[in-house]
Amino acid sequence: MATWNLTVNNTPQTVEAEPDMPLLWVLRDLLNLTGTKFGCGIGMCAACTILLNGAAIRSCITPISAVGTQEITTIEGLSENGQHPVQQAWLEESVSQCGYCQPAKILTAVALLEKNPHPSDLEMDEAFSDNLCRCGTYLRIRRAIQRAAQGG
Amino acid sequence: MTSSFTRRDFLKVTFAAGGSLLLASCVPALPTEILTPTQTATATSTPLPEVPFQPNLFIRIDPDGMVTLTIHRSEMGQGVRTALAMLLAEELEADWKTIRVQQMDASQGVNQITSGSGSILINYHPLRQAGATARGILVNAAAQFWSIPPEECKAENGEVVRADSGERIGYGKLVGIASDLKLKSTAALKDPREFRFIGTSVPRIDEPEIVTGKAIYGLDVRVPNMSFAVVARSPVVGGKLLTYDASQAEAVTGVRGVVEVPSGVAVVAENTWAAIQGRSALKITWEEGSNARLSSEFIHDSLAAKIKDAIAAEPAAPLKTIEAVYETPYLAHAALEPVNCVADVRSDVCELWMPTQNPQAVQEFVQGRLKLPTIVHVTLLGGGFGRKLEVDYGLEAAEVSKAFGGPVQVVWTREDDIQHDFYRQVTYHWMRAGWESDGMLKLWRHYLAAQGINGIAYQAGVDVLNEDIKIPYTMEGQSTGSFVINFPVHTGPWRGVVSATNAFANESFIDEVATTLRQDPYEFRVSRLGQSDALRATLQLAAEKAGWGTPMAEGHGRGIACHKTYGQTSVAMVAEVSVADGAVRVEKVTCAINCGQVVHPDMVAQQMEGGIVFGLTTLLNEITYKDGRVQQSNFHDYPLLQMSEMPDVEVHLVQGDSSPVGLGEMGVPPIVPAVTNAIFNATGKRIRHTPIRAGDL
Repeated sequence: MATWNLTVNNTPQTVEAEPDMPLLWVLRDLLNLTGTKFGCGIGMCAACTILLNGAAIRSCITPISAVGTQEITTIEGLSENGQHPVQQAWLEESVSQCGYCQPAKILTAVALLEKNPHPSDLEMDEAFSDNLCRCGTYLRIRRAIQRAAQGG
Repeated sequence: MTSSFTRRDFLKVTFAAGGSLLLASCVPALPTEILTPTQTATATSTPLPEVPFQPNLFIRIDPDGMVTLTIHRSEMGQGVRTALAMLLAEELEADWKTIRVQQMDASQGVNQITSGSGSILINYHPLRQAGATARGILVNAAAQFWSIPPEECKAENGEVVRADSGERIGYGKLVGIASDLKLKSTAALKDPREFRFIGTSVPRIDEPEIVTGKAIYGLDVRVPNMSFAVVARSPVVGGKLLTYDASQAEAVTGVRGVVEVPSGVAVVAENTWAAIQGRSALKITWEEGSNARLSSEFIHDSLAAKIKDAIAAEPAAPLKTIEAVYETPYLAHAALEPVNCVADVRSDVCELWMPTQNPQAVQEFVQGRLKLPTIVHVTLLGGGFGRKLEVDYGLEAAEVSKAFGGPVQVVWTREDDIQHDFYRQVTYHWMRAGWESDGMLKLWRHYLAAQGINGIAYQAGVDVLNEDIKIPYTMEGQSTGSFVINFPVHTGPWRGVVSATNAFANESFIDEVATTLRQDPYEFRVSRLGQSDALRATLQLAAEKAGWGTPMAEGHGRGIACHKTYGQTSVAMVAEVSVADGAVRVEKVTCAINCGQVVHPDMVAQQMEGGIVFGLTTLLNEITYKDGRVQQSNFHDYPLLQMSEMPDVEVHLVQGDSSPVGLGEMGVPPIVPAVTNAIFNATGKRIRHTPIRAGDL
């Protein structure tokens, strides 16, 4: 067991964990940040997506030992009360069905728009590769990203 | 709390000590008759069901004006919390901003099962009736307060308005007045032409919590002193635990204990990761038994042999005939949230928190097993699709908590979820059609050999296999039959159940008949549907909106299919595909649906989009067996449809003339035959099985 100093949603956090523990379980089980979801454990569904220094990564295959001083942002830290333009776009387009994977989809969209403010459908498809939604909300995700890209 | 009002044993009105108005409404256990608009217009023409009083739909109006509806169905993405709240708000004339929902725990004597796409069908009238009754009470209270006849008062957006002066009193204040008065309510339902909520796309009531990560699914439940567990289960169905060595598992940092339970060996730990690591370190020997010989080849051959026997008695007909065999495999539900359950077994009670479609069955089975009173709290479901109707994961979690001695969350990894599912049943359809020399159809056969449903809470045989097996087309000489073989594989309801596989066989084979006769597949269908059949109008609308018959690009094809799932909801779809280099891409799906009175148009579209994705995914994956083991384990070998594979989808509504019917499953059955028919149109190749395999195109 080792001690790790993390920055999660702009807040310093200290946790005790084995070096190979995926960040997913650190967030969910040690820090009680359950907005980050478990879906597959092998990086194939992206339900566990978080932002590491602003880039979308899969926390289920990212060991805590790989985080270092990078800043972690989870859905809980994206905005104060859901006011982020991407969250608002999600509501405007009524994207969610079961909603389980949507925090991950929102963070993926935030990271995409940061790099590419006006992504094409093809660029969205690439950013959302192996980013699964069993309810089938893909068309609405695209529409929400387009809406956010146009400033809501 | 005193009971002061009973309306024909149907609605019970109570005033709580704090001054809140409570309504408990009884919902009949069985679906109510689908009523025509003339019957829905007023309550006076709608007889109230004569059933025992069973309080289950709880509605509370507080002195601060807030209205709370206790939701007795499970929310798994179909929007049921919002839709039920809309029904109440409509008749109550509530201010939508005052509506809150809370989830009901398991409660026996009331139908809480979220299945069969039935939540709105069943609750449409009772919940509106409850809202209307509450409105009547509040109007009467206002009338007495003002000493004027109730006819001179009108309920409006959470207030009662006095016609002569325009003076208003809010519902919260009226609740206090009503509790001091002897009241009655006439409870007339609104004319659908005056609906304010029903038929509009109000925002989902729980979506703000979803997009902020605050929504609590089963896996997000945390109770004090909770441990996390994963269970090692027999890789072969029915396998027995022979021996296990837990020493290395117990040595894993964070592991708190290893306990034996009926389903296997549970590793209980401080966190999920330690539990998973601990399980990997277990050494287990299983007595696998004869099921270890099970293979997909054996399953296929057994179904084929059953059909061969059945058709041996089929007489030769003096007709031109064609025959074909359609096959579908076992399928996993693969909801993004794997099944899971938090259990806390104490000396006097068992308490469960879980994402379940079937809390009552969980309660019954766990009480029966543990001989303890059992409370089941229902969380949000990260997808259900029928998997969460089963009780296995609740029972198992209760066993783990009992054996370990404390509250435990049993987490199923993706591998656990895919390999220990209650799968969609495997099916084998033998089809024959025959016609005379003038092309007049005289013969239609559909013999189905399949596994039934053999779960814990759910078992069904020939009845479920016959679900929607008849074709809707006017045709002489139609005969169908079903034969069950129970393989040692757990099966359960899967979105669309057998209706989906029967639709694949029927709507593909009718296409084979039409194309063999060189007739247009759309015209062939329409000409055989009655003028009043709702399917006919949906088929016509889908064809029109899709531009049926207009030219297409090279390598493209169009296919059409329609289906009335559970005899309720008419859905027609036109799929446009392109085929290149042996790969198919579904470009566009045009869908038309008649689901009766539309409660929430955007949710209709969502459910059609979702059903289409669910159906398209069956073209990608399957569950197979070798040496008694499921060969797939995670999304690398059980792929789901991706965003890049998503077609454009258009959903068009046909105005229905009945009260609402189901939606959740109804998008699934027509999409697969629409796509495979389109592939035939593009390539001349007929796909008669799912998934589509390399070399099929």
